[in-house]
Amino acid sequence: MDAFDILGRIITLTLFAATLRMATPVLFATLGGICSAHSGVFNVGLEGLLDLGAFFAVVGSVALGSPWAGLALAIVSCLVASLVFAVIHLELKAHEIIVGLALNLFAYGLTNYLLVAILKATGFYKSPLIIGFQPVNIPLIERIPIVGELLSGHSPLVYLGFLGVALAYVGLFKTPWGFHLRAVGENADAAEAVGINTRLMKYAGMLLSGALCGFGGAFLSLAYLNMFSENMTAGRGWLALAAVNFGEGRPLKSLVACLIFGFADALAIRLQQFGLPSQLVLMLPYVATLVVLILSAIQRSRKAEQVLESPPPAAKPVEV
Amino acid sequence: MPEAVAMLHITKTFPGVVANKDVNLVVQRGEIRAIVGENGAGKTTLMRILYGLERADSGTIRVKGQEVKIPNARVAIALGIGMVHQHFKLVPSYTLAQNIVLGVEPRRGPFVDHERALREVHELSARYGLTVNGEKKVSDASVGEQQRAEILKALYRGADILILDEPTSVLTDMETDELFIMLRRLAADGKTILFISHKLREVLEVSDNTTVMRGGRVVGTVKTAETSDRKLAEMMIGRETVEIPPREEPPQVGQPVLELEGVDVYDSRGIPAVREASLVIRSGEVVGIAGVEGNGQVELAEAITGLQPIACGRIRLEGREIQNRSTRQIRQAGVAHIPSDRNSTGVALEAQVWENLIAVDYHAPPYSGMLVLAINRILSYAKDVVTRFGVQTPGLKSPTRNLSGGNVQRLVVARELGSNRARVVVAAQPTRGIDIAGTEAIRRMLLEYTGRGAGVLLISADLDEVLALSDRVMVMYRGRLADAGRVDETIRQRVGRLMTGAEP
Repeated sequence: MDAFDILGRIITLTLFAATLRMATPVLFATLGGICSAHSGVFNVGLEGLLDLGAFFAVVGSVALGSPWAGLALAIVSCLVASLVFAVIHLELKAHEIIVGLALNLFAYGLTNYLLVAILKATGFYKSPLIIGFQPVNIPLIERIPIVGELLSGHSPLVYLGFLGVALAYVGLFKTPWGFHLRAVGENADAAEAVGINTRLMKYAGMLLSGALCGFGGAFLSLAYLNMFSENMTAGRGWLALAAVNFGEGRPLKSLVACLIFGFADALAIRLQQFGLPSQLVLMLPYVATLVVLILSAIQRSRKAEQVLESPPPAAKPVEV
Repeated sequence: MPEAVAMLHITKTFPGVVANKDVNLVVQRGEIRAIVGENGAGKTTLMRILYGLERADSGTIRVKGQEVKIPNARVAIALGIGMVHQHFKLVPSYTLAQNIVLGVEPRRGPFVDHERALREVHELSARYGLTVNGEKKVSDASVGEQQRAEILKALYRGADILILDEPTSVLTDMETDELFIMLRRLAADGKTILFISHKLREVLEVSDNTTVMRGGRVVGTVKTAETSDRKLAEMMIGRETVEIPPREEPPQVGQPVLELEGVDVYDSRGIPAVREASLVIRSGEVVGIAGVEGNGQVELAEAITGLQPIACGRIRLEGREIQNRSTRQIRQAGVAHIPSDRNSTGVALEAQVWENLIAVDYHAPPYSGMLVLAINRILSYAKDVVTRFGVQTPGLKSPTRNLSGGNVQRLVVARELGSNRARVVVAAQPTRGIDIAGTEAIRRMLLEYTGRGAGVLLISADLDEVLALSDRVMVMYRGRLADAGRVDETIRQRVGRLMTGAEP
C-alpha cells in the first residue's frame, strides 16, 4: 500500500460530508457569538449555552417525542440562560467575561445534576426514547454524483446552519436593524445620541446568541449523536470564540474557520479508524484552533503594519 | 426676525453648585449667538438643558414661539434642535455618510439604502458648503471633516437650531476659519446658531450677538459689533470681587529659584502650545500667570514639572538645568506641583488617603526600605500632615473618593507642601471649585510657603486670585507670556489688555 493509496482512503467524499456535519455545531455557536459581539458584548458563555442546548434538546425529544420539540426546548432554555446573563451584565453591571465564565460553570453543573434528577442517569444518557433528526435527502441534488453525496443526506440542522450564515450576513450588514446593532457595539455613545435604544439592542444581540446556541446544542444531541453525555460539547463553544475572533465579525469569514474545525474533527474520527493512537488524533481540532488563531494574528499584524506604513496625515500649517 | 429660542428664568442646581441662576436667553432666527464665559460659568449646562440632556429645576423654554418641555434629546431633535458636542459622537468604522444618516437611514424595502444615503448626504453637503466625502470612514477623516459630518448629522435630521459646544477647541486655525464661513452661510440660510466659546477673538469674528455668563448668571448680552475684546474680558472676569487682603510687605526676595528661557511646548497634536516662554521666579516670590484658559497654561505647568517634554529652551532650578528630566528627578530636585485637575492628575480617587499622601515620597527612605514600605512611619507622617493642613477625612485608610472636593485639594496641597522640600511650587487653579474657607486656607498655605524661601508659580483663571496672591503678574495669550509687571493700582487694566493679545 503506497502513500497515495492511504491518502486516497482517508480523504474521501465521506470525509468532506462529515466536515460539513462537524462544522455545524461550532457554526451555530459562532453565529451567536458574532451577534453578541456586534452588540458590544463578548460572550464567553457559548460553551455553557451549547451544553444547555444539548441537554434540553434530549429532554424535549424524550418528553414530547419529536426532535423539533427538542430543538424548541433547547432554544427556550438557552434564551432563558442568556436573558439571565443579559440582566446580570446590563442591569447589574457585572463584567461580561465573569458572567460568561459563571454561565459555563453553571451550565455544566446544572446539566449534570438534571441528568440524574430528570433522566436518572449518570455520566451519559442514551435511550431509544430519544428521537433524533432524520437525514434529509434533497431531491435532484441527491442524484448528482459527488455533489449529491457531499450535500445531500444531512440533518436539517446542517442546512439551517448554512442558511444562518446568509441570514446573519444580510441581517447584520444590510438591514437597518444590523446597522443600528453594529453602531451600538462600536460606539454606544454615538448610537444613543441619535436616539437608538442601546440597551434594547444589546439584549437583542445576547438573546440571539442564546437562541443560536440552542440550535447548536440540539444538533449535538439529536443529530450528531442520539445521546447526551457529560462534557459532550468538548470545547466547541471555545472553538466558536476563536472563529468569531478570526472572522472579525463577518459571518462568511467565520464560516471558513468553522469549516477548518469541522475538517479537523472529521479527520480525527477518520484517522482513529486507521488505528492511530486516539490521544494524538483527538488533538487535531485543537491544533486547528491554534492554527486559525495564529493565522488571524498574522493577518491582523499585517493590517497594523500597513496602517503604520501609510504616511501620517499632513499637519496643517499654523498661523502664528 | 422671529424668535427661535427663548430660555426664561432657567435655574439649575447640582449638589453643592448652582450651575444656572435665573438665566434668560432669547435668540432670533438666523442669528449667530455666542455664549462666552470662563469654565464653570454655566454655559454648557444651559445648552445641555436646551438639548434635553439636563432638566432645569425651574424656568420655561420656548422654541419657535411654542412653550415646550424637553425631557430628552429625542424631543430636542424633533423640535429641530441639533447639538454638536465637543467630543464627537461617531462610529469609527462607519463612513461619514453612514454616521450622518444613522438612526434615520433611508430604506429600500427591508434594507438600508446606502446609495441613497450617500446621495442625500452629498446634496446636503453641497447645499451648505459643508464639504465631506461621505464614502470616507470616520477613522480616515480629519477632525474638521468629522466636525462637518456632525453638523450635517444635525441638519439631516432637520435641525434649524444648532448648538455648537466649543467647536473650535479641536480645530487648527485654518479649520476654524473654514468653520466660520460655513456657520455664516447656515445663518444666512435661516439657521439659528448657538456657539459656546471662551475664545474672545473667535466670538468677535463670527457672532452677531454675545451673551456673557459668569458664575451661573448672564452678565449681559451685547451686539458683537459694538463691543470689544476688552469689554468682553471685563464682563467675563468681573470687577466686583471678594475682598482678599492684599499681601503685606513682600518677604525677602532672594536668588532666582526657577528660570525659563525660550521654552516651546507642543501639544498632543503637534501644535505649539507654549512659545518662547521666559520667566524668572525668585526665592520668596509669587509670580502669577493670568489669562483665559486654553492659552497654554496647562502645557506650561506640565513642561516645568516634567509631564510634557519641551521642544526647545531651558528650565533651570536654582541654576541647574532640569528640562526634559523625568518627573521624579524634577520632583526630587525640588519642584512641587498642584495640578489643575485634581481628580485626574492630582490624586488616585480609588486609593486610600495615606497612599495619596505618600505618592511622591514612598519610594525612598525613610518611608521605604529595601522591599517593603515603612507603613508605621508613613502613617504617622500622614497623620501629621492631615492635621497640619486641615484635611477632613473619615480616616487615613478610607478611599480618597469619599472626601469632598475641597478636602481632596487640601490633600494634594498637603502632599506637595507637607515635606517642606520644594523650592518651587507650581500651583495651577489651586482653589477651583472650593468653598471660601478652603480657598482661604490654601492661599494662606501657599503664601506661608514662600516665607521659607521657596518660589511659587501661580496659574489661575481667577484674576482676582492672581492679583491677590502675586508679587508680579504675567499674562499668557496664545502660548506666549507677556509681563504685566508688579501688582499696583493699574494692573487690572494692563492684564485685561494683555489677555486679548494687545501690546502692553
